[in-house]
Amino acid sequence: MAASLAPVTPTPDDPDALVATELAELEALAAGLPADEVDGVPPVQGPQEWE
Amino acid sequence: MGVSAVDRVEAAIAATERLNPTLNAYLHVDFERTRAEAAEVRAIEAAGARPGPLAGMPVCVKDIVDVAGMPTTAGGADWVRHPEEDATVVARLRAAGAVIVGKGNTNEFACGIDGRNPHKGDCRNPWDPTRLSGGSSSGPAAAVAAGMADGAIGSDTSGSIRVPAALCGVVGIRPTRGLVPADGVVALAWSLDAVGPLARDVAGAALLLDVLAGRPPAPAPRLAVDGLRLGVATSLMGLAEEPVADALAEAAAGLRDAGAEIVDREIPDLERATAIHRLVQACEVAAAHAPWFERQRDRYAPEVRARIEAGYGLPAEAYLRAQRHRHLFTRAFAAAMDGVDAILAPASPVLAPPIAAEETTVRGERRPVRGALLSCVAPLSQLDCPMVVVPAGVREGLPVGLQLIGRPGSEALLLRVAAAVESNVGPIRPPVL
Repeated sequence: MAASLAPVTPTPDDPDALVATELAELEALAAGLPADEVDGVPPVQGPQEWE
Repeated sequence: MGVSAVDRVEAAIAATERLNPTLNAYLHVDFERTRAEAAEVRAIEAAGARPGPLAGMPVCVKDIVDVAGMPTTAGGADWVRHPEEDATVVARLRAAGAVIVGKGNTNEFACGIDGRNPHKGDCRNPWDPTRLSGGSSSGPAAAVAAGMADGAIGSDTSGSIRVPAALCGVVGIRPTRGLVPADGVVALAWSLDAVGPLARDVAGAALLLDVLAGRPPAPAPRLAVDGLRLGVATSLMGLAEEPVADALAEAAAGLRDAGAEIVDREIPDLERATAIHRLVQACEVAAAHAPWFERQRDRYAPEVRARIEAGYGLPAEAYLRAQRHRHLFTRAFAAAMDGVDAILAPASPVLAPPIAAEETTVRGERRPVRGALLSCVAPLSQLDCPMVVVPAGVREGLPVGLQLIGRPGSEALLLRVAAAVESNVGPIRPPVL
């Protein structure tokens, strides 16, 4: 069943520029998470569950 | 005698035939099969057997969830798989007597919060088709609100059940992560994804949740909130536009009148929480799409491609550091919940924005619609906690959703609070389209 109303989502011109912008934002966010604040904090918590 | 399975399903089909050309809530339907499934339920009833707790409930399944015999497109341009088996959640629905109406619209690969989809057409809000439905579980929320289904399955990684539930005026549950199985569901971000139900009322959502979780249905949630201590998330409430804040204040006052103690509660460092969430999601979505990304990169909508492709540029150390900070945020949030049973917050700081809007006004500032819609849900999505959205009223002709956040495993308590809100607000329905 098709919709009778056309999509309205606009399409940006330069996908590569969008990727670069997104990555720059993420890198800035990562830089704002200090490593020294998570000394001793495990990235994954256990124990593993073995069957 | 109650409404028969066939009657319920026929009502949903009739609403779908009438409204889907406008709302685009369903991407795929098969009414012949839907009617056959309803007839099977009726035959079981006619034989004197009990077909299950969801007997004859017409259900919309988000199109990232496998339904045997129906294509799974995930809302992508050319991506499709043809499952021969139901996802576990769909199998559980069928075993409980539910009838699948079709596959619900979604943002491309569930990667979005607004319900817009350049490949399949935008999903529109049943309260006003010129407005956003919210997403990414856009079709499920719109279908339930418009009577094209009585219940739905959605998924929530950053708010994708909660925001469309709020904007469309239905009940949505992001369950405790891991409570509902996600096999047969196209992943967005493994450590954040949660599969959950949407329904027009709290009792329906609670019943669906029990079925999805594979446990016996509990009695309908009690309305009693006396003795509960509920914390209002002041920083999140401060983000809400006046009509939203007004409706939520009224809902909180109603809970106080019903015997709950309402206190202010500060949620720690929302800005950092949002950063953690974005980093974890970016890396995980990149990994989830790796099997086909290179082949299909030009077929993604540019914004979605950017969100996925950027994840390949981040070092593993950044991902792990974000996950470690996630533990710190979880501890801080747990401390913030000390002494309260649940937290109250907006699900969206704004009423449903116009469908083509790129920006919206929040507290006098122009902000991107995407960022605004994510602001009250994304920072909390990295918690493994359950979250329930319940309609808290109607302002300017559009629904407002109250978000309830509890400790892991506290769905029953949240649903009690939601039932009390629902009782105070009364049923809300979109105007006749």
